[in-house]
Amino acid sequence: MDAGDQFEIKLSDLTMTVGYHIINNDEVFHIVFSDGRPKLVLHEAIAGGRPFWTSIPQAQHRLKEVEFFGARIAEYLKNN
Amino acid sequence: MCYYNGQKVSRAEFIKLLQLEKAVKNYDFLNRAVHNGFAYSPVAVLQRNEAETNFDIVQMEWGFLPIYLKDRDAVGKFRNGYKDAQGKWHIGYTTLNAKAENLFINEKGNASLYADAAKKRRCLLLSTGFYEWRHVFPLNKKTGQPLKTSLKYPYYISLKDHEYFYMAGVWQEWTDKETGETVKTIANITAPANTLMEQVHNSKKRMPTILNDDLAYEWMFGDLSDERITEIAMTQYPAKEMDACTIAKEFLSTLEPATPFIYEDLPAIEYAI
Repeated sequence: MDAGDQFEIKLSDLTMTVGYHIINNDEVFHIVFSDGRPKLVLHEAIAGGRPFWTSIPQAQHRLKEVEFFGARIAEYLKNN
Repeated sequence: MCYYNGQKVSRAEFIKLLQLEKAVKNYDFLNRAVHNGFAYSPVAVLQRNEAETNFDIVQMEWGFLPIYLKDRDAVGKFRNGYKDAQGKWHIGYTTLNAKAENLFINEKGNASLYADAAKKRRCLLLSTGFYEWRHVFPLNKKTGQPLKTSLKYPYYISLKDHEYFYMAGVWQEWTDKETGETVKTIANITAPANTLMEQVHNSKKRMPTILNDDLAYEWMFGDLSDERITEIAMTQYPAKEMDACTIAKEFLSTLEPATPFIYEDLPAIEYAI
């Protein structure tokens, strides 16, 4: 995948439009949701030697969304 | 250890995420695909927050500006020197670095430009490594004496086992009275060179004041006497914990400026055991 590429992930009642970007040499995913909820910028960071999905900037009230949508992106990248 | 979005991350990861946060904030996701962080000229600085309980990562302009400079034109004259209406030349001042020995009293014995900042506005410049030039004087083949013109070799200096490290700095907010532009400006503190830096930066024999975690905390948050401020500013980071490698002479224009480059004729640096 090249920086600037965009792809769609269709969930049962929601579509994520994901833009892939490289910022400061790090991969960043910019997500726009079909249901109009606020956009998310996700990045896979490292904690204790293991990767985890985080929003940039921090959004404590959206941690479950971050984890869920991050996992969907990982699935998509693995299968495409 | 620090927490980011509820996850316990290393300090290096935390700093990376804060920098990414700042870059994302300024990023136009609609129009740009690649952002080259190396093109940013301002430097990343840790500044004490107002409550003095934590720090913020901010960007500052490197080159300390005194508040009396009226506008950018005056800044240009201050930095580069200028000729006045009578044709008299006024020299310019380099304020990228502040000598630890002269934080309060300058070399002429007057109050230093940095004195107030040293007392009230100390900060930490975040670094992964820095560059210095080593001057080598080739010998005249006939006389055996060193030539007057030196060859210059660039080095990249970093710390062993430290992805990021802190350099002591002092900052000053400066406002352009013509445009209202306000910027924070910084000078990083320099100390006499240690045994490694004496060989690398052999023209001036100086090095940045690199602080370990404890001294960095004290520099940023301590209620310090002038003597203690000077003492910390004079810190010589141990040579044995530093690495220096030669890099290509055109390093400033390359994307990977810290890539090692071997010069066949250059005598090796001697590391103290």
